Amino acid sequence: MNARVEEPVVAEVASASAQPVRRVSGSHGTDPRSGRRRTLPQLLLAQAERYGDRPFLRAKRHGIWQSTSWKQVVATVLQLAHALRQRGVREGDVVVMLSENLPELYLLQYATQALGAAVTCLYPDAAPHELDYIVGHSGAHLVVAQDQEQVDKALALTEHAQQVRTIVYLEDRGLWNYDDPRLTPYPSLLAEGARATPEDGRALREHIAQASDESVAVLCYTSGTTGKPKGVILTHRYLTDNAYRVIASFGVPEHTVYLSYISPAWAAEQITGLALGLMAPSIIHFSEKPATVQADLREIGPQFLLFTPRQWEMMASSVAAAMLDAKPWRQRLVDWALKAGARRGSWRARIAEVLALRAIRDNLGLKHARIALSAGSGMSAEVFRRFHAMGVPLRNLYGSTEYGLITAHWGGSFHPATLGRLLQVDPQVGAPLEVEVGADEQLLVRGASGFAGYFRDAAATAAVPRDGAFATGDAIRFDEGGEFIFLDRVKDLRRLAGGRPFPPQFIENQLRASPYIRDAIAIGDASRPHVTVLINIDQAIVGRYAEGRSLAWSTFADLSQLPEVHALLRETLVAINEQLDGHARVRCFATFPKELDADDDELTRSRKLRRDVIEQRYAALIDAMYAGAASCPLDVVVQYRDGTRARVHQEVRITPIEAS
Amino acid sequence: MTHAVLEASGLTLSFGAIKALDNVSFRVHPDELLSIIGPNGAGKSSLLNCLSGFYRPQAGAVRFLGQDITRLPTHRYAELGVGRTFQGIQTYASMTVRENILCGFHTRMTSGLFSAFLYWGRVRREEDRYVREAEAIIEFLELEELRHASVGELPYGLRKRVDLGRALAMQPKVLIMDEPMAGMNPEEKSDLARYILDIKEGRRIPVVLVEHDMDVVMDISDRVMVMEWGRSIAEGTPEEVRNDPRVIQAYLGVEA
Repeated sequence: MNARVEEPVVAEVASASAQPVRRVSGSHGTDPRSGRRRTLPQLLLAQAERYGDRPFLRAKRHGIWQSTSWKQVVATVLQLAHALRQRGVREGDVVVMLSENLPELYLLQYATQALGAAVTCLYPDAAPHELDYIVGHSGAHLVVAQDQEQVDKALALTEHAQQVRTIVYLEDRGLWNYDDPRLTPYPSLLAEGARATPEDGRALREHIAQASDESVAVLCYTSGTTGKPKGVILTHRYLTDNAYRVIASFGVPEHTVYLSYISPAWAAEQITGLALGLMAPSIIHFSEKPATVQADLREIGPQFLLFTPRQWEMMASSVAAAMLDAKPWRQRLVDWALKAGARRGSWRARIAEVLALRAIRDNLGLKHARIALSAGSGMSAEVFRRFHAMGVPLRNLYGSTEYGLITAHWGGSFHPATLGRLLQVDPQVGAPLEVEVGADEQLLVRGASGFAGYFRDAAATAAVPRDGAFATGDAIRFDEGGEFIFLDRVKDLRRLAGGRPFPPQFIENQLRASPYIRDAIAIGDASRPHVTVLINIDQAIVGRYAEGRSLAWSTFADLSQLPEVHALLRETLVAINEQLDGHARVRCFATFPKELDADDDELTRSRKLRRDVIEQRYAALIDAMYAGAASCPLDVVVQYRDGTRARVHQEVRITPIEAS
Repeated sequence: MTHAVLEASGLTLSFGAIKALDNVSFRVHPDELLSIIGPNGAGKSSLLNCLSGFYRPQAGAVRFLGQDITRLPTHRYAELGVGRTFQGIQTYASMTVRENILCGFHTRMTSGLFSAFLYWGRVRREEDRYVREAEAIIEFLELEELRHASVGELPYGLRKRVDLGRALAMQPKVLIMDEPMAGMNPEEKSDLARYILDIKEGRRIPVVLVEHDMDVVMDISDRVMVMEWGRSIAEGTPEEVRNDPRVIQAYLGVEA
């Protein structure tokens, strides 16, 4: 338990005395693979001239991987574009797509964009009313639905049912007896397109050539936690610029093997899949179906893959689960190898690589993974380190749908607590990214292709900019090297007596990530000058720690107040403080002398903290912490399961954190 | 009315003094799911065995696509296109899902033992073709992630689905299923019911189903035939059969 993995590939963290960095500038990239202000269909045609018969899309059909070449992709896209045109899709229209990642979905997207129309993809688990709203808001009259489940949603529209004239479906299972005249199977659409004359073909190519890269390529509807979803406009320039940021910063190799897995409803897949695929270019692989992705990964061996933190965590736990069934000597070998692997470059790590790590990577399908990205917030440092110990160079990627990808780990920095640094921008598109932390701790971004607005929502678009910059709504802090640390959403920050904000959830989440801590509550508001913390220890694990050091304790109250336990917790808090600005740092902490319990109303039944109850019950302790006391006598009433109550008297220790 | 795919007329079968089937007649039409229900000992399994050539009726005839097949040897039934799944599990536990389905092609394979050992030219092409067809069935039954799993390790519902896949490999023109849902939990039942409907609608194979779970039968059947004491006592849509007084009597007993 006590063997904490060291951090070998870690940048130096800002020292406590430095002035906080408030503004960071990025740079232009030098990679020649610029989108050169072309639209995706223009890029597709140009790249197909160059790559011809080389594979572009690969999917498993009937158990065998089958490739589609650049030439074939262009032929199919032009065919589909003609058919979509016959079905009334025009420049400026929007086509709604509801599907998992499939080659047909890519082809239909390029075909739609070839007509100057835009695509909006929904998550496959979108509810019918969401589809209804988005069809209404976007004015779409053509919907692409993967299978029976999605077709049923498209047929169940209420408000905007009349508006939909065509529903194209990709898989016919269960739809054999549907007779709605709007239903069109994908092969029929393709056949309609095959009737195009050479004259049609020329006109279409001309149309593609004349398009501007400032036209709308994709609408990304953000799940509105408050109010209706907003359609973020992604222009062709946005997509090619963002793809360039990834290509230039990571040095994505040509014909990179890419796994298309995260939903195209997400801007990230639009960038790293559809746009980057054309520019790098990639060989885009599609998993047979979600359930086979683990086996497919191994067969594909992707060089480039993008998962959410949750998906990486599941992969890490699949290794742990597999190890439970392994023979004891194998378990010990892997444990040892993961520890040795954490010190990259050491001779132990080299032996571990040969004995175990290479095989683990192979089994996970990560043998060739050079660019392994985790997008979205909340990657646990623990999982991050585990992949690095395995030899998988996992990187955090940070951005917003509106502005695109902003930072990532690149150029040799892999600090698990940071989101990396600013990505390089396409010099043909605009100025490098430049960010600053505004007065309210909010991250403001300027430069690059920028934010194009919300679709048909001028009011919301106008509300976003601040001082000529895009306001992300994220509270971000930079360390000295200009690396980003995500604190909280700005709306979740709390303010101290001096009016300066601090991130309570960030502190609490970081504390909860420690195995020794079950719950933690960060105290501090307009009536308090600084931040303090109350910790509920994990009795089982801290107990084992104490046993390992032959420390005597009898009750939870004893254990929680041991000076050695406080020293252990203090280490964790010192590490967290290093990621915070001076005023937001935790000054001191205390541990609860009894476990927080739902029976005592301190937690809800789902184990959420009841802050008001806790702050009221432990008011004396909190006051003592702010008074600078070294301890505080506390009487706590405990209710036992059988209903009896008892008073527990305990001298509660208060430990300061700032180094003397 | 459309031409019948499978037709039984006046089937009579006795075991000594016991009449298992007494003058039973019915027809299965294309695109139809016909269920046969009845209490234990009503003669359902005997009827299926006559339809698939395991029993010879003493009187009456079985016609398949207009041809009288009553006296044909049993293996000819399968070759002609009368597919059948049995009660319980009939898969090879040590083989993979794909190998089990490939076994279903044996009636159509032409290579002999000797040429199969050499494995070149025609034999190889034949094998490739059947693997492709097996994969199409795997996709149809959504078994992709399990294609290389050995069947013995699979739960019952999935093994039954593999069994069904092997029956499909024979490219039946009618599929006879004997109590496929026995021993399944409700989720497995609804899964299998879905695939049976898919076979009827997507592959256009008519299905004859013997099943005890009335909810499933009433849900998915186009027509239901009710048997009692070796005789057919009612036939019609699920709704008609459900309200038929003779059926209520057979299942619930006579009211005093």
